[in-house]
Amino acid sequence: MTNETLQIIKTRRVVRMMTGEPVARTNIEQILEAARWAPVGGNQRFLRFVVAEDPKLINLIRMVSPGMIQRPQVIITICADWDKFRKNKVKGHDRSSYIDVGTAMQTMLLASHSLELGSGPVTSFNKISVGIMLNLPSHVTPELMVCVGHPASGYQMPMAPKQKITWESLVDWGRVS
Amino acid sequence: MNENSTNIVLHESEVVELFVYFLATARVQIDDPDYYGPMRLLIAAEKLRDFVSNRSSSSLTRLFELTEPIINDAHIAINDIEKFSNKLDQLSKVIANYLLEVNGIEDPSHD
Ligand SMILES: Cc1cc2nc3c(=O)[nH]c(=O)nc-3n(C[C@H](O)[C@H](O)[C@H](O)COP(=O)(O)O)c2cc1C
Repeated sequence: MTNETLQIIKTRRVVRMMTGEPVARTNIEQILEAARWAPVGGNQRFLRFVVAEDPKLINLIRMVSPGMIQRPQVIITICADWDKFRKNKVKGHDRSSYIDVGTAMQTMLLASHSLELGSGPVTSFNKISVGIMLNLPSHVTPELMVCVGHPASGYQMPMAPKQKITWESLVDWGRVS
Repeated sequence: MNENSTNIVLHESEVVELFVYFLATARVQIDDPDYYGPMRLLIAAEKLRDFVSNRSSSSLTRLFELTEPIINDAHIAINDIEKFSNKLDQLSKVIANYLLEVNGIEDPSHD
């Protein structure tokens, strides 16, 4: 029997070509619920998720986001709430916060893929402009956007199409030789 | 009026999109890898091309046609700096030859 979870992990790729078909609200909620179960440093909750579904708002966000190649139906912006960090007196907070962003991102990408939706992360966006567009308070910063939509068939514009990376090439066993 | 000085008007929404793209991307590039810079410029050039391609002169259309496949190849080569540079070199040659030709200046190497 194939292991479905491993299969989902291995077959997920960034989707940069999406159709105009809307994404069901129930699917977006499932993706957000999955993010709630992502591991976070110290079991603290410093992240906020801001969901943009309005095509007009999505279009404006795209205009200040050079890394957003796709035309998504939904953008989930993972934001860090720095007030919560300060209140909890977390040391070295920057690093742990960014790792939390990563775990939330990957959980949402995998959840989307398992729902047969396409998704792609974007960090190449203008954080000041997007903060204003999403009406974020000054202590909340947008860190990464997860674009969601139905994948278009065909070419998906990978960043480096011809790479052949095996897991073995990335691993050392025991002490590094 | 010769063909090269014909007015091609951009829609205001297109001007806004391009103008905002340059300004927003200027900030984004401070944090992004340096080699993304050329790619962002190629994308801006493509935006401009796509805005006007249906109302451009035959000469301008030819410039777009000459450069489009090379730009497409460059995008695919983004992570291979040698290949990417090679595509940008190719573009540099194409635009220089195009400019000489449309301005009626002979290329001495072709004598
Ligand atoms: C932190 C982070 C930021 C990323 N930012 C962008 C981005 O701005 N635009 C984009 O198209 N892809 C972005 N990506 C996607 C990567 O390019 C992609 O994951 C990588 O090329 C491997 O492709 P794959 O995930 O399809 O296997 C980002 C990925 C990560 C983890």
